[in-house]
Amino acid sequence: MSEPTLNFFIQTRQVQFAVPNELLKKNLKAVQKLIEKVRKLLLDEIVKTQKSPHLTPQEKLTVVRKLIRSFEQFQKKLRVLVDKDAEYRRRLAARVNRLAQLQLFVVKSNKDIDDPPLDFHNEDFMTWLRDEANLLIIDYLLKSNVVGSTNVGSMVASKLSQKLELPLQDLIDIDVYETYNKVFLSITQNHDLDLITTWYTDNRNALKKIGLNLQFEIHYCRYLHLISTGQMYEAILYSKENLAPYAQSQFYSPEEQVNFASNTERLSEVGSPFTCDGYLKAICTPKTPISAILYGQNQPSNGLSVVPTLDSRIQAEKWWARLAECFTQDYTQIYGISHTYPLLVYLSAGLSCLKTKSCFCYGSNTIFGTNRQKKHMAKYSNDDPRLRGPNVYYDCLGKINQCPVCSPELFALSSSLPYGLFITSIFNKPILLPNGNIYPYDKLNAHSKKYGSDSKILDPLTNELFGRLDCLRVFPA
Amino acid sequence: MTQLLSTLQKEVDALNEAGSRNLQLLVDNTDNFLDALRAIEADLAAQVEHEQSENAPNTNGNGVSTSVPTDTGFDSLEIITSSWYNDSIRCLKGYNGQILKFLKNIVNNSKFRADLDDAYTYPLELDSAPLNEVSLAAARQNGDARKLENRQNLLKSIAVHFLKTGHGDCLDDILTGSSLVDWVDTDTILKFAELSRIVDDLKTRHDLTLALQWLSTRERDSPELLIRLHMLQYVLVLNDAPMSVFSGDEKPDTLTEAEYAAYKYAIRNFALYFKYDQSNVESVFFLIALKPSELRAILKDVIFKAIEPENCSELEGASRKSFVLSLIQSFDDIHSNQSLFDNLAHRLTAHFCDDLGLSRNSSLFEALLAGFVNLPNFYKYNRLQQKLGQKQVEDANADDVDLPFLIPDKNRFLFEYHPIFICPVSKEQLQPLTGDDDFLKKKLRWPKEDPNANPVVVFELCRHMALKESVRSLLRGSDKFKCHYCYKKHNILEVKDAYFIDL
Repeated sequence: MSEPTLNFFIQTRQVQFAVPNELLKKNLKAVQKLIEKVRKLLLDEIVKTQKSPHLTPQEKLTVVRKLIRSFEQFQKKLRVLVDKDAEYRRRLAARVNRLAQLQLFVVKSNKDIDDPPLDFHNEDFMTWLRDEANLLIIDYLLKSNVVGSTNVGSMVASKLSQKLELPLQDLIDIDVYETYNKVFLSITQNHDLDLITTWYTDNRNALKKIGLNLQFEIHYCRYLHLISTGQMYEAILYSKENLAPYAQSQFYSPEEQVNFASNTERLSEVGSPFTCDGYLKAICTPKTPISAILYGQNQPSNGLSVVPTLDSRIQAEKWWARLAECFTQDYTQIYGISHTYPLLVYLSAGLSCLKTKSCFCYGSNTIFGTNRQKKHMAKYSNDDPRLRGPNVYYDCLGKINQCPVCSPELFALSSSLPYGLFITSIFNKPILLPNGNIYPYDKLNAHSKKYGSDSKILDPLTNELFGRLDCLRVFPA
Repeated sequence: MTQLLSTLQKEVDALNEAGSRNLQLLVDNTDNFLDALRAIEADLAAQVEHEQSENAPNTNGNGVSTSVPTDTGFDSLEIITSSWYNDSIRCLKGYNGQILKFLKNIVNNSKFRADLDDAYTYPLELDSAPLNEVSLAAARQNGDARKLENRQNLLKSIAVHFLKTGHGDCLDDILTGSSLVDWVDTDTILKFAELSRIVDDLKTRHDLTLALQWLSTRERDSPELLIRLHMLQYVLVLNDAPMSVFSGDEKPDTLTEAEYAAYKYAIRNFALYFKYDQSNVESVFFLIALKPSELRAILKDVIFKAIEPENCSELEGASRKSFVLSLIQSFDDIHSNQSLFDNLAHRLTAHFCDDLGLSRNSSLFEALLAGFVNLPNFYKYNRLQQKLGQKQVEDANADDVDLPFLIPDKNRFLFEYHPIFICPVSKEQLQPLTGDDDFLKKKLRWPKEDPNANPVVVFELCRHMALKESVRSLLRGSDKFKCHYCYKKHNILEVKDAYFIDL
């Protein structure tokens, strides 16, 4: 169908340019805000002096010194932002330089066509791809990190950058993915809404354009969190203030209108997680906006505490998971990041293309104890077909299975994938021995000469000796 | 250079230029404004001082009054603030225009976009979200246990990948917070620590001593890597002449110390390999003649031409030639050619893994490599399906189906791990026997079918082959059939079960 070309490599890395561009945009806005702020401060002071025309030089000096102090602070902040800008531009330059290296790896004969295919025979290209694999892995580790205190991805990145000749810090937007991961974990693990709220506030304008439902999800979660921790009064107050407006369609901007129906639905059903605890059934009137449900109802008496049952805990996990998912959607959309981790995309394609019906779980190709199987040493008789299975004969012949799909970890991962569609591909000069085994002739011959004689052929698997005339060339295709 | 790459480069350059120019202007403008404020401050300070001295009792009694400093600058504060503000905003506008242009020409330009999500035809049973092991109970409730296992599998293969690529120090980080840490084979990890030292020396310090030591005890039958290491070491000695290689012999006056050391090194280590690969070893050896000579450029050119790659059919041979070429091209500045060292380190790691009974390369990298090679096919297929109005993503659990498109043959040389036999009659792929008892007990999900059912058979008369089931279908009630290739008639008894065994 189609070959990997230079252009395809560029096209699939567009996100590497989209993210720094977004960061530059944001940073420039921050600069503008900073300028506006200091200008207002200066003008306010100046206007004040204009109102009192008879200031003494001493008073004027005090005013000017105050202005200078403010302006010096502004200058410091500005320098930080200007440095950041330079850093983001450096990222763009590093990425385009890395892609430009691909020109050295195109198939030579096709140099003149506009989109030349890449030459996988080139060892330097292989090194380039090895680096690329490391970048994908770091990207995965950064985004999928589950350790709250430190991000595994950035630790690995800093260790790798000491050894690799790669400007890793410029090639991956570590800060962006680290922030994403931090906010995500604060939601799912700590059930904490501070980070997500801050993030929402910082990105309010961009989010409005996308028209997703993040703010509602945040309020919804906070409200349910208040209820599940027994803070009933606060929950009701919070709901009246922040959730009730969502029951009115005029509250939504045109982009957000799509969420109206489902939000109202969820608001009216929101009592349901509580029914499992028994005593709030009364206030749960489905299909009525939450504000109406809670407003003016009898509140549980003081001292009532809510102990969440397992069910309600799982239910709660779902709310948090939903908020986290909504956040992920917004985050990926703002920066133009692919929804699936790129590592998984390449892995899925690669494993499907490599998966053959000859693959098996080759237990010894790992460093993890549970999978390290005992080698199969000739426990089958010579005429047993099972001796001919690759899972057995590799071990008997002392051969190491190089197939990546057969490595225990990837074997399990590829279980849901289809098999590659191949054409027949058998080793050179296949030769059939009388016992039904077919070997590559050259290797078998070399082996026989080493251990047998010139006139006989030795079957290395069964140790049988056969006359050369009894061994026949076969034609699989 | 492709059109796309040149546009990209142009746009990045333009953005970079606009950014540094406008922000420098902004910074200068801000500095100037601050200077102006300070000048006003100085004027006012002088004025205040003057007033104070005027008011103070005249100590020297000469009664001469100095000129009164003015504070006109103070009145212009509003004007200079506005002018600073306007100039600053102008800088920002200039830069913002370029950022928006970049957005339009690159980020939002469909020519630059191949969305990876569109190439994810067959999803792995793995979410693109952090999934914590602690929540295993919850995962079971949600039916996510499989995803959790798969996340662990991926982490394991990442761990092996880093171990095999000389980054074993990352292992602790990766396994932190995971139960996997208990399952690691610590003996193997310790052995890899040795590899890490060797590879670090080779790649970072360009010191081949440990690599040569380790390899010379192991590589008897296949000296490919050892030859390359010796060649490189020879060039390094020729360039650097480490003291350790000097022997007590007297050095002839005609040679420099480095040349003499290299000469001795070659005598000691090259002799074995002349018969293995005379032309390449000789080419490298002759580098000694180039070092001091004024005719260096000419001689280098002669050697370079002499070994320019012919149509070398054998992969390894071609690769060795290109190694030697690269050695010669950069011999007088060998340390700048990092890829030489990297490629050798990679080969060395492969040998090391082989020695431990592990596959030579990182399985994860090999799988990703297959992804790099084949992703365009998945992308095109999916886009085509979208255009035809088919569903974008195939059903999960596609483990009993084949990919809907043929994998191009061009880059298959990278991935020849198993002999593949496709039955010419039924087009089915042969499934060899992997129904081992242990394996079945583990209840792994594939292969599902009974592999004994359909072995490959050889036709005795013509020695063509097909799957047994296909032969049955060719019989059509009789006990005779015709070979699908040569139409030779065979009796059902004239076929024989066979097994492909790779050595």
